[in-house]
Amino acid sequence: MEYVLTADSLTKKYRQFKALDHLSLHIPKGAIYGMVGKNGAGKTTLIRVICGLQDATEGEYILYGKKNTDKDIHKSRRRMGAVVETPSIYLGMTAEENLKEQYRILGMPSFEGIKELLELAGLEDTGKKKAKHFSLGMRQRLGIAIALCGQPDFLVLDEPVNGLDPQGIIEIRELILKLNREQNITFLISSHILDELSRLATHYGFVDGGRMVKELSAKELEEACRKCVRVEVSDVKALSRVLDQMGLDYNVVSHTQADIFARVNLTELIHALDHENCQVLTASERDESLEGYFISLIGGANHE
Amino acid sequence: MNRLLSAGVVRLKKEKIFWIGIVFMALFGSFLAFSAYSDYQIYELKPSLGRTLFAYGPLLGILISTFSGLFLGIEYSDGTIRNKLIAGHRRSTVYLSNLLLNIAASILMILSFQLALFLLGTLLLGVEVFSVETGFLLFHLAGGFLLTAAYCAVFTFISMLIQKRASSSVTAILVSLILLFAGAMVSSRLAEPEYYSNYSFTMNPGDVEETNREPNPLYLRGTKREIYKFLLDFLPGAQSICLSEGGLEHWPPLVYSLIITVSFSCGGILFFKRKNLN
Repeated sequence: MEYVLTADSLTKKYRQFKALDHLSLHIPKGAIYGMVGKNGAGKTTLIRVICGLQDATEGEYILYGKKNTDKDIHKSRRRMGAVVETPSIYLGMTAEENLKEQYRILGMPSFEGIKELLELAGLEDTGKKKAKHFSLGMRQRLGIAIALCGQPDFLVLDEPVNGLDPQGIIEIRELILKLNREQNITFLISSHILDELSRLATHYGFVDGGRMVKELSAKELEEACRKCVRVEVSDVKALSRVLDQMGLDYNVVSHTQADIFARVNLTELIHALDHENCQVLTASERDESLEGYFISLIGGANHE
Repeated sequence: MNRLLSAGVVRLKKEKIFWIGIVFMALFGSFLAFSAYSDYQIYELKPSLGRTLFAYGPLLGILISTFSGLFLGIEYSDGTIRNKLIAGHRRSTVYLSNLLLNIAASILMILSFQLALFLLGTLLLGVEVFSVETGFLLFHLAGGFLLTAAYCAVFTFISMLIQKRASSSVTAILVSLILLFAGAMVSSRLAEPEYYSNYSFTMNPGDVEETNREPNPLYLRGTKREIYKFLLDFLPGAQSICLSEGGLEHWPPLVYSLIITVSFSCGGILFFKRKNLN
């Protein structure tokens, strides 16, 4: 798999406090990578480090094949755009002036594409209105439009829907999906609004206490969160044989437990298991949401 | 660097604080020209305004500190410094481009003062009032430029290393005032006469008495005087006063300004490279 960004054992210390603690990360090309974590988990610190705003204390990351210690890492950064915390915009300038300013910073030969960017961000009608008079959603969209100047392949968005109204959240979501599908832009999005993230992300990274607790694809997460019946039996091998015979999809969780991903007739199952001298001890329905998965994961990590 | 300078120049043109500085300096220049004209009308003695072209000296620190704090502080308050770094610009380039913009803006503000004074002075009093020796003019132009660069280096250092705009502005203005007061103090101590001059007085009509010359206890002597002389040449605040009085008569102040510019810029870049930005 081709990765846009990988991090290995990345650590960032502020005096004695470890904001990042040997964190590892893998963002595949074309993915919308949702970084999930509580406030203070280290999400923004990680973004600051990969954006070059802060240096890592230990460890390394590779951005488009260049290590953070390479002298020409700044060349890789030219392929990325980012909105870190609040949108970085000149409040005394209009939307168009802000984009032109960023074009100059990037050394673009002409202002071609600014009109399209304004349309993409839904800011084409703002005219001479200065950014300081924009709503939070408009500022956020302008921040994304600025990050899109120079046609980056990789966009980093830190809490992009934080503080937005429902309409603003939908607009940002649609913009992200459009850019990902139409321009194949890879996204790293940090958020603690799990429901919103679950509508976008193709990959997830769960961060807690500066560490990467788990990385998995949306498909793997879906599997983990699928509606199922968890059965506890005296002989899990016998249960496997019976479920195979019944043609049901299942997953053995432990030497006494298995998840069955189908509506199962418990009477039939118990009868069949009885023939195999296997007892059914408990059976419970499970339906885990992303939120539930996150809580069990982070809770689990805390108990480790 | 060119890209950042080009972007910075456009931003400068839109920046209110820059235009306020230009207008303020032009008004100050005009005021001095009118003041000289009004003196001329009273005393009928044509003034010499050649040296007045450098009367901006004492204002220089306050002007640049205010401008730097507000203009460069926006990079942090609006968060736009991040755009430059994420766009792949090196920290040293970002720092240097801001320093150069600061110097360019300050020189333009000085020029607006000199131009207003010169044009209005010429209109009211004639061009001859500006006649000065070429050597004096060149020396003071160079001194003024290097002093401006030194102030810009100090205040860019402060503005780039303190992320909170209000804190950096207040710090820069306070430093400029401290430098100016320190300069004024050094200058006035060195101006103390060695002796109180003798004078005569009459107790009774026709009975004139004379006093002896009294040594001035405030007069600086020996190593202390040498230190104060060094400070007069070295401190930007003291140089500002010398510049405004037309008293930049030797090379050391110019060299010290250059040293301040280079050392603050190198130090600033070094600290800025290590700085954790939000």
